[in-house]
Amino acid sequence: MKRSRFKGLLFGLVAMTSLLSCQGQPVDDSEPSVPIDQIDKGNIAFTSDDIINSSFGGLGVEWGAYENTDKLIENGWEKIIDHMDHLGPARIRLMINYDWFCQNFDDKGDDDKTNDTWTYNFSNKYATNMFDILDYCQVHGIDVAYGCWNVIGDLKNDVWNMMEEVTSDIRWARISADVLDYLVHQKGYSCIKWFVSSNEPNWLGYEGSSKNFKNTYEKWEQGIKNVRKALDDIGLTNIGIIGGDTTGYAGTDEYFTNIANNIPDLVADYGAHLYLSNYDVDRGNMLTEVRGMVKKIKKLDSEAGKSRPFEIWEAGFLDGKTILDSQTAITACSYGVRMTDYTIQCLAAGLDGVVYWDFDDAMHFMYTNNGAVPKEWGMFSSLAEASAAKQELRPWYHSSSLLCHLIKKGNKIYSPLQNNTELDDTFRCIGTVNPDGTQGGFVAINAAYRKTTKTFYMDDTVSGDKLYIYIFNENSYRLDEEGYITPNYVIDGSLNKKITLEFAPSTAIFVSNTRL
Amino acid sequence: MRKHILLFGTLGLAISAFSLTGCGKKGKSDTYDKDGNLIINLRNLYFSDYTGGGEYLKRLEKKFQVSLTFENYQDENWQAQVTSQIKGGDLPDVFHSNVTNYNFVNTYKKWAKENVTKALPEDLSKWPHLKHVLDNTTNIDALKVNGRLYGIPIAKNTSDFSIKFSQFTYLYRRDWAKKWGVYQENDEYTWPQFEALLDKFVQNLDVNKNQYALGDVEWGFPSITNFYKDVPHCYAYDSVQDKYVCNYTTDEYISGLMASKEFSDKGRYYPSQNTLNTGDMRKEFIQGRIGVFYENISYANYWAIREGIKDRFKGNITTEDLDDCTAIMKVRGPDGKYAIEGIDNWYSMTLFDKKISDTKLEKVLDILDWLLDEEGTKLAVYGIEGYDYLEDPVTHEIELIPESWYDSNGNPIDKKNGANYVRYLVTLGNDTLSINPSTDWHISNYLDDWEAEMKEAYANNELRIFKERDEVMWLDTSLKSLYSETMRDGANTAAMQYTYGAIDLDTFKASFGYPWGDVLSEINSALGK
Repeated sequence: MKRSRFKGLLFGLVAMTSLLSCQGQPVDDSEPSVPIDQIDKGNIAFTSDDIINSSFGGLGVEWGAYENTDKLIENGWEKIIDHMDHLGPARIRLMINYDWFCQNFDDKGDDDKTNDTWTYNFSNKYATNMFDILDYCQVHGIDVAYGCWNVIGDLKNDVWNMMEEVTSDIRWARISADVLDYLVHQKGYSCIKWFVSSNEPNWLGYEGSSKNFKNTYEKWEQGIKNVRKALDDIGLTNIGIIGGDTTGYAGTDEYFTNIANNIPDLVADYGAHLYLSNYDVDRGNMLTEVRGMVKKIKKLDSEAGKSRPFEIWEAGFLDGKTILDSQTAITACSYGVRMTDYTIQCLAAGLDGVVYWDFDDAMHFMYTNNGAVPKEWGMFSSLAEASAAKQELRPWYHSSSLLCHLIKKGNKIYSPLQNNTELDDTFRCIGTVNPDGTQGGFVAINAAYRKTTKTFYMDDTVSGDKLYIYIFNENSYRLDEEGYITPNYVIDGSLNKKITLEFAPSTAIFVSNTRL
Repeated sequence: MRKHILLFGTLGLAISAFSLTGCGKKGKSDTYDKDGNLIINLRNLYFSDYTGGGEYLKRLEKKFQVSLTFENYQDENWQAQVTSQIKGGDLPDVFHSNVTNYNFVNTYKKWAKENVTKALPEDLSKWPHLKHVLDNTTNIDALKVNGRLYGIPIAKNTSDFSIKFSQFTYLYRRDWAKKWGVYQENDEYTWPQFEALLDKFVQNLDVNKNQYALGDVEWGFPSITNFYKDVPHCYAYDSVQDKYVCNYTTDEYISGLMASKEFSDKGRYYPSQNTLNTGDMRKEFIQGRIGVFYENISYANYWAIREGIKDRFKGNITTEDLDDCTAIMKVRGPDGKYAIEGIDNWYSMTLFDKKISDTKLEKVLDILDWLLDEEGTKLAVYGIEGYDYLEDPVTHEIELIPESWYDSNGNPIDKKNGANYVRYLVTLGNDTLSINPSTDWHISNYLDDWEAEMKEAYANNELRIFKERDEVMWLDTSLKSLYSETMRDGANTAAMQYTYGAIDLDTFKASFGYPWGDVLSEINSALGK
């Protein structure tokens, strides 16, 4: 369906068609078609024909099982939970290692993998922590993408012999089904919605240091077939398998194309990890790239972007990444501004979910000859060894919290025609409203090095007579006494009335009819 | 905003654009991605954590219609990884090897002769910037096999090929020296002052906490010999006899070795160098357990040491305090002179898998040549015009855009500029350190100042550069090629044993029997001595 902004004659009809044809699914089918010179740069109206997703999947964060809970600060878990409460994600990605749970492996002394046996031990600190996370998600209605990082076994002593076949090894599907059977059927974690059949399968790593070194798309596809059947056989038909979980544009393109051609019905989505240059986001390249990717796959799979949405399962930045797999930029407010921009571009391209990498520095470690070094990508650190500054909430926690609370699961997403890099490569915005029109607002970003002024207006009815305005840049964002973000302004007003905002350089502004 | 002017006048070249595609025929191994880009696999130690991606690389790839894949080597077993891939027959298209004079015959030349690596084209005039670098590489002729060059020595600095000495020297705890009253102005120490400082450190440090006055990087022990010996390793020239002799039994080396033992006996030296793995002594220094540390203080190493100390203090350390923890020490030996090991302007090489096509090889050369050119250097160093920098169209003055280079806390952003990483295939980038906005100016300035002082000292005959003569260093004879590396390793082991009192001097001297005599005879014969 072509979108049109020739309002006088076609507006009503086009808007009606949008809503009728695309309920409950992402609705974008095409590039914006209005000539650039007819787009009003300064006045932005979020109208029904801007709806790009009529029921958004949700934003979230990687909350992986902690590799060593002994390292947490005193009362660390309460602090973690408090921070999760205030973040308010709709989804998380929870990755574990099967090595933590599988024991007593017996290959029966032969090469036949079908007769191998092992047992499961869910009585250790890894499992306890995993249950803590799942308990929280179950109670709070948070959707979980649950998965295992990579195949079981030790690189130096690979007694399982899984690294040749990787996830196509028949035991991968057996273990996956056993673990999910236990978690869903026995433990009752219905919050688990997806299964991640290994992390970043297209990233092979280095021989001798990566379990994934011998992987191929074909092996991964066979693994998906095996896992799908294994889950179906035990009645877990409602758990979808992430389609890809790949990293980077090139690898993602390869996997998405193959999935669309070969096994579209076996996956629940098209899921990727994207770690981008600042430039990619600051100048809107991401929007163009992701739109292109979505468009291409939609041509191959008619359900792509509909029942099989596009989603980001690890969102992060390349610039600032260190050799020990940490991110130096996370301490700055500009990281939050960029991540907000990243999110806007994903949603404007029609993606159904974004999961940030990651929640807490304490979750993952780089294991070096000098000991375990925390991978610092988080919104804070709950590590006892971390400095007080690192234990504080970082600015991007606050911007992510605003995004999670504004753009809720099930909301409509509006992407106006101004999201066009040819028109302006430094300004983007999206609007959002919940199904009954009681909660909504918009977030806009000025990635330019200069000020800009824009006027906004939501055409669809949104209730409320107050507006909560959050200005997010280094100089402006405000925290309350508990250290959580609070609005800069609370004014009488309505989203259905025009509001003019002046944006400082590198600034995100959130406007909501509810306190976020 | 910091302003820079790019100067490319040093090349003295007026280079016109030339075709970057369609050079030569396709080889059997050429593969192209779905968009028709030639896939080229690169593996290099200096890629560090960079695994590809980003806008800068994308622009480079688009310009040359290539798809580049990146893989690094782990520092600890770099050569083992190279050798493993060669044995396994699964070399990447472009790889990186340590090619010092001690292994070049057994590695570089052997690989060339055994068709492991591919020679560069004889005529390099199509790549004038690259040719300029190669033409100015010291001892380049030694690297030619049957008149052909089988790779690109990675230049430390492509704007100044005259550097004669290494950056192997001492860092020290100036704060301790000040605290214990042995600090000398401008960090300059005479030999007695150096000894006094070490003794004061010994007096105040606690061996029960594994604290020691002096530690050497694993390959540099015992650094005290530097102030005595004439050559770094095996082959010393005896002017009286007009022939090459075993360096380790010369009077000069023995004097240095005895001094080292004295240092050890007095508790100045870290007591168990023999137990260390690569990088361990650096960790000891970072952890505050070593007072004076002999190391290669390249920009990257110096940066890593300072970052390590920052991490140790969880960032709670001022720049001034950090400077005091990592000051560069200038020590004059017993002869009153500084002593630094001499080097060439390169030590590792970018090599090419024999199996790659001429097309692929030439494509890589196209890319590298462009990255040495003004336009390519701008992409690699500054980034994207209008986003990372602005350029005055008349004066060509570059103005950096701070929002792109610094985060909102004012800290520099470590950009993953793929073009810059590819540039490491031909130069370490020391030539662009001074104009690279990502450079840590503290480190760069300290190193520049130290280098300038040492150059001045050299000019005033106050610096002794010790280096093997070129004629013997790159001499390719069968026994020398076969034994040099093991001879050197054996000598270092014996030196360590003597220093720590495990063997006496006679035993040390006696360890230089076979094959030393045969190798030296062969060398002297080959050189007409």
